[in-house]
Amino acid sequence: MDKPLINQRRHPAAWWIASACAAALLVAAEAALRAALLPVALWTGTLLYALVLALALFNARKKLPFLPLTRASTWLRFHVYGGWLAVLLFFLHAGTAWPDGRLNQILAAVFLLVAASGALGLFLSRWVPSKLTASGEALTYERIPEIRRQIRTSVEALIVAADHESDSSTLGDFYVNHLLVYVNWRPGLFALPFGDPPLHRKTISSLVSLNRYFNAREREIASELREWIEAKRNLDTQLVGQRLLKLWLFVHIPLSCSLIILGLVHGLVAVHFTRGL
Amino acid sequence: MARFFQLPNFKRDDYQRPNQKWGCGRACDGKGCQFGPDAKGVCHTTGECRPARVGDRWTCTRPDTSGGPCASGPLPSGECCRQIGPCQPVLSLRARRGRWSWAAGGLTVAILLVLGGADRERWADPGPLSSAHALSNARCSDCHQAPPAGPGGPGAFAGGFAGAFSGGRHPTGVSCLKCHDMGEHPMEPHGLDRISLTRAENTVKPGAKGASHSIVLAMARIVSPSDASRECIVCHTEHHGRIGKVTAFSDKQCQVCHVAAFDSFSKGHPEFSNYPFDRRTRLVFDHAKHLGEHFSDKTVAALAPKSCDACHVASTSGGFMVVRSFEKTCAACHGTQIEGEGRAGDKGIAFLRIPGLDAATLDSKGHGVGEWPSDADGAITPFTRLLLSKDKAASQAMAALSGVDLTDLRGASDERLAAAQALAWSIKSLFADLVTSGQDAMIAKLGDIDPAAERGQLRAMTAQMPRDGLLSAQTAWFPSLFTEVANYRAGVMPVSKMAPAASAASPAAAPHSAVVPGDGDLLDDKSPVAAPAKPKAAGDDILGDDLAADAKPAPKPVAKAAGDDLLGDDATPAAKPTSKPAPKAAKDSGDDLIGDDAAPAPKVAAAAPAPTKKIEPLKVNDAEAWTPAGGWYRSADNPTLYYRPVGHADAFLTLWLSASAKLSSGPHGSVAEPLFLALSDAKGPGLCMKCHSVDRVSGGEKVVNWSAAGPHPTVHEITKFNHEAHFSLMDQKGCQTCHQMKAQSAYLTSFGDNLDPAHFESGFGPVVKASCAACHNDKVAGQSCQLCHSYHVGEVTAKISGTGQMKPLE
Amino acid sequence: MGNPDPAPVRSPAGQGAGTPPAGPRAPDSASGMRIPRPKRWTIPFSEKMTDENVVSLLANPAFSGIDASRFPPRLPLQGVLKNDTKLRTFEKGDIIVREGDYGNSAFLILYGSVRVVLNSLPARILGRQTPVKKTFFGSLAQLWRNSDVPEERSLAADTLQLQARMTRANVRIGRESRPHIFVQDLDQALPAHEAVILKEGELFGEIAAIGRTPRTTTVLAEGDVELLEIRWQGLRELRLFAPAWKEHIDRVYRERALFSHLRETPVLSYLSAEQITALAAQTHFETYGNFDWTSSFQKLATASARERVEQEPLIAREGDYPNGLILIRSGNVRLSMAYNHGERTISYLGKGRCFGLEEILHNARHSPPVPLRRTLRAIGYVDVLIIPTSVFEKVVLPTLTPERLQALGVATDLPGVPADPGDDASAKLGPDMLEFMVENRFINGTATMLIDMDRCTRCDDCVRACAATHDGNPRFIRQGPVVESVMVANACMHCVDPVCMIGCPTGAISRESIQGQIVINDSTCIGCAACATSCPYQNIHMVHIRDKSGSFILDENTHTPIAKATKCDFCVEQIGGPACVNACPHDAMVRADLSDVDLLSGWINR
Repeated sequence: MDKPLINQRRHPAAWWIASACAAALLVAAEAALRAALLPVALWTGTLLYALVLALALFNARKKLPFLPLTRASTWLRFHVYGGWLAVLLFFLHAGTAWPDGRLNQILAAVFLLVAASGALGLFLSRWVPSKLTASGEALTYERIPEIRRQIRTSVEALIVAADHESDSSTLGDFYVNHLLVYVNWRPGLFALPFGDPPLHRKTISSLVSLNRYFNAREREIASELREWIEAKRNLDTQLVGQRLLKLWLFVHIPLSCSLIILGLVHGLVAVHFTRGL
Repeated sequence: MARFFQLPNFKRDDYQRPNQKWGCGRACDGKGCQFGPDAKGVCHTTGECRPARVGDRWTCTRPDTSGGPCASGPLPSGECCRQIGPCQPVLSLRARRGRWSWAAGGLTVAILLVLGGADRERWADPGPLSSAHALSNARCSDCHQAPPAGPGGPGAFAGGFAGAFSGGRHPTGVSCLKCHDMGEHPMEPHGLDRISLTRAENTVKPGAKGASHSIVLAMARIVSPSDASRECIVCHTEHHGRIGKVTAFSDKQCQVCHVAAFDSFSKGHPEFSNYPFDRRTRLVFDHAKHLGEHFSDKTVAALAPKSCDACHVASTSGGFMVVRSFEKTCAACHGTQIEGEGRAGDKGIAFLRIPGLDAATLDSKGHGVGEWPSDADGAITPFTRLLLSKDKAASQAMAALSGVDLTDLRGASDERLAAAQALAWSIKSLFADLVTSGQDAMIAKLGDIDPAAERGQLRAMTAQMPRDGLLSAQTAWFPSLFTEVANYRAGVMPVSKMAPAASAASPAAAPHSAVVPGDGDLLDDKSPVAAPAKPKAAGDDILGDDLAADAKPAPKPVAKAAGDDLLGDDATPAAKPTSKPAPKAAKDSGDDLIGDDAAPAPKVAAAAPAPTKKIEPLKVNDAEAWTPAGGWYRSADNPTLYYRPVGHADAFLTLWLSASAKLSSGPHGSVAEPLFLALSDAKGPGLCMKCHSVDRVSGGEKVVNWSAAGPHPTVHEITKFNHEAHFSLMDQKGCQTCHQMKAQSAYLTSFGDNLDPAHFESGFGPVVKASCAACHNDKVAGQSCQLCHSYHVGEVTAKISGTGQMKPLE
Repeated sequence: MGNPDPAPVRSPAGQGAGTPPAGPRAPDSASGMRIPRPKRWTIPFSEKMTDENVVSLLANPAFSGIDASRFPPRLPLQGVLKNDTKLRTFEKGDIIVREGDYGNSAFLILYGSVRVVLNSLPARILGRQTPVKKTFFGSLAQLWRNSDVPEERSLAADTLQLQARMTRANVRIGRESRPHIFVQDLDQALPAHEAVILKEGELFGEIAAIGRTPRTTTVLAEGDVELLEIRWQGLRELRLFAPAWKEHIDRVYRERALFSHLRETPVLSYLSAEQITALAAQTHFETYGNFDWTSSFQKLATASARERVEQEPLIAREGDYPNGLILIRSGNVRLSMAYNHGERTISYLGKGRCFGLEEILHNARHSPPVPLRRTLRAIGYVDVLIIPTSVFEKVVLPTLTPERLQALGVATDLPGVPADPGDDASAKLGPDMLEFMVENRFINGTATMLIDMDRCTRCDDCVRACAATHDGNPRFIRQGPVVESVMVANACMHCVDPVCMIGCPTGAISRESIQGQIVINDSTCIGCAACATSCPYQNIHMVHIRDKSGSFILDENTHTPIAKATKCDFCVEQIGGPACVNACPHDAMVRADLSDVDLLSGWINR
């Protein structure tokens, strides 16, 4: 069978050097065209749009996993380094000043948003995974609601058990006053996947503080509850982190669609009114 | 110790299917049913299984993984006994993202369609125009040609796009040239034609020291298209806001075309060969000689200028140090020279002269020329020759008579005599024209010779030639000119006789001379006596001229004698009166006639009876001395009309010089050239050529430089320099900081016979590049090409529109 | 969990079938779970064997000659026959042994005759499919041809028909109420001259049984036949205690297999053919461990690591005198050293590696002699060859010059004891990783799916890619135990020792080629779940197939949904290779051959 598929990160240095050279070449070529009084805007614009399309193809490749289109990781590298080049090209093309035309302003805004969201996404996908792994849990996003519910039911079961087995309301009250809130609590949309949420610490501390009222059985249950609280924390970490990893794409991809359309229109208008001169 | 959920029961769990668009609505409760929603997102689940009909009964089809067939089995109705209502399937996150994308795309298109509507141009507008063009902000079509016919409304954008690559609405030079007049080659580099271009390029050779090592430039020169003509908008980019720089142009953009590329002005720019002198000065002024020699002369030391700005002042643009007016500069020393002060020979210019002619021989040999002043002497003036150049006969005659002494024709051949006769009559005819039609005749003749000349110029060339001056000259030279010329033109040749000699002895003449006093009366009231004497002329008697003409014969002998006497000694008139009172009277009266003063005659005659008492009569100044301020006069000693220049910039001289210079290269060169030479003679009257150089311009035409170099309001020089801006930077050497005067220079050799302005010796050394580069480098004052060079050179003006509709405002 | 360090190394050890579904993992505690230590014959090969059967068997010439007294008391001959054998009957045309199958037993013909097919039979007859790579457009077509309905089979109508044919026509429930595949009109399908006929009393399938190698030929029932199927344990005992059997088996084995095995061993690569033959004559071979180790492994799933280690049969003990060079012929072995109260795993060795070479070399050159520095234990089933030290020194040693040894990467002078040799895997992988991989038998995989959780963004592109390449159905679950941020995902590992293939009645599951991918022929799978149950990693999933409308396809008799075994087929049909790895944008995934420590450590420390 084919030799084992060790998916190494192949020569990141090569990518750096290549794109650095490409960038240098771009800058020089732009200056040269400008000096030669050639329609530099037309050239850079066309190149930029072509590059944007090429970057967009990354999404198309994801839909064709059955074709031998080289590794997606290679595509992503191209997407990332190509993305930086696109930003460079953008500034070569549009200059560093904010455009005056309304259409151009919209286009520039969209482009910069796409670029920024891409950069953010790159950062997130390098930073968040380790946080998720560190939490010790490994879940698929789709299973999270199910497990949240599972935690709630298990906790409730424990509380009921506690109520029956030890005729004291300590844990019941704890459940009503603290645990229930925490179990139903969902972290905010832009919460970060590390550290314990205050609510979690609060719940734990209040459980610990109740220790003095527990009898032996209650202590057992309390320690079990504690495990579930930890589990809930892990679950939230997973939710937050994985949601972040998916959220940024809600900006990046839809705006890319607009970018491609706007870019085309801009190009046509420009050619129409200036023949790219 | 936490709990972990990472390990589902793989045995029980089905695959997780993130690829599916819809997920079970109950999955979040961990109660996802085995069926799941369909691809449309609809849940068909009613129970835990979908019972299968076997024969007439239903059986449970619940799979083992869900517990296998249930005990109770399906309901009779065929429904599962364990009912679970359909769930509300949930859309997967990814599918939701897909919807967002479609929405974004759709929204964008929608917005564009809206913007593509009425004011689409406002949206497509990439930004405000520079303030100079700001008015066109609302009128795209000022620069962008009308769009290709497309559908109106929102569709128009698309329509426009269709034409984007075909026609498009890009502004072309046409749009710009509507307002900007950029000369004949607006799209060519520098607005120059290719010939001048190549010349310009070749002035800088590649590989020079300090040649550029810029990679960018090297690349640019490779890709730069050979055809250098460009649309305006290539360089002049607009829509960069009110203060956007429309004329920005980088040094590299200059360097791409130029043969030798160098890094900067301070590094690689060639040394100035002889900047700022690309030609000799128009005015001949040897600074070194003046400052070195002339001004050191005690007599003029006081007049010497103290600094350069005594003679030079910066032009408003600062580009030129123009020479101050003649009066403020040269006049102090050279003003009187021009008027002819201290000059030997005529101070006036002989304009018209009746040449010496051997009239006797001609008459005797049957080539009568009628009257001819016996005191005629000297040659035909170049003016006369020029005025005669349209007279074929005269020209032929002059050709035939070249080298013949007209004052002695005794040995001359018949042809020559005939030629001489023809010439004589041409001259008389010309003179007659000038006398009769005056300035108009001269204007007409000059007009014939130089049809290009403007009327105003021609009029000025007459220098207001006076009517009476010519009349008196005619009376003196050709008393019966009109009859003779009239007859001559009618083909009647006069009887050959030396009229003056005969009249001296004839009795017929006596009564004439006797009635001299009466003549004076005749001037007042017409006498019947005179009438029969000249019945032919009587018809014309109304005119005083004719009376005078009639009167002429009488005093002739006297006049003649007087004329003769005058030849002898004009200086001692006092000796005469006693010996020949009558003649003197006659002469006087003759003189008077010239002086147009009839009055004194009777008085003198009256005074005649008492000769004993010696009274000095009034004396008319010698004509030349009579006209120090310049103007026309007639010489007493030969039949010549003179013009004396009125001072600097005398219109007559300058115009005749310019005209003759111009004509000297034309068909009339043979006659114009001598005239020009005569006038431009360094010693000649006016001394114009002493200071004003003559250039031979393209086409061999000669041009007199009447004024020093100065700025032209509409011409852009390729190099610009603001003198004023640099005054404060000069050290104690003053202007010599940059313009170093050569102590010994062959400056003057640039002039004289040399008519080529480009071939010259400057009195100053070229400006040294280092002196500019001291400040003009990146650190101090900047050194971009455009700092000193303008791109568009030659006539560059803005068109003024609407003058056509000018009319008084109501 | 027997993991000393506090960092929770999550493994199925604390999880699995025993625990409630998807429930919280049982807390790790010093006490751990206690289970009865499994004994030989707890599970007999066949419940149906009666003492009468045994008696009648003892009368059979094959056994009558055996001196029963040679058998140890704890392993009497009767016991062997009762517990390790099974009576099988086949009808004409039934396929008894299928070429390429993994067998764990040999067959003794009691009655009738069988036909050994010389030329391999067409895949159709064997009920196999030979996967053909898709064309480019065939691949592209998946873009629109993939089904929206999970596990839809209606797409390929022929598949359903074939499946139907297999279930009806070619599958019959034999007297043993076990499904048999048979070949219709045998004589026409394969003429006699292309086959060898074996008669009563003859033994076949023993090599594959002992060597745990795929069957080399197909054997069909010539008529009604009665066979005694002897599982490998029984065969082992017979070979040990019945000289005739040993003589027979060893002869057959030496003839057919041993020479080539020795030939392939690097250390012996400098020997001439004659020397190899001579060596083969004196080489012993042994088998260790449990042939169907998976069941015991699954039972032990909840036991502590230490217990599990101790369960592993000992091949050579640290401190013993190296009485021979041990060559691993198949399976995996654990190299360990005593470490305080436990054994620390140093490394594991796979097929073709040898053990004890350094010690032997050292002892041959220096004195005093050193004992073995490592303990060698069989992980699962192991088959080893032993070249006695004396023979090695006489035959092999002269050929091993220092240069050659260097070329072989063998340390010529022995490092100090107990220093670790260069190939100390724990140094490369880290102790946790190593223990984890070995404990959980993941080293069995040739294409184990590992995910670097520090790079994985949980984007599920791999799963979607997998679904896209399998008619819209994923073939693995992106979950599994994680150690040191490496997740071993729930995907078929295409094991070196594919226990899943043992006992597939229809041969629907098969290896493409030796060391090839293991694939399931969906059309011949009858959904018996034998493979799914025997997979120690739970990587085979039974699914219920559906029609276009999405409702289950039911068995016409039982009216229960028809199940099919599904698993990762390593995209054998895809031109692009395994889609999961190729689809990972972050280089987080790898399908690693864990039998090569360096590859794994290379990836982990990339």
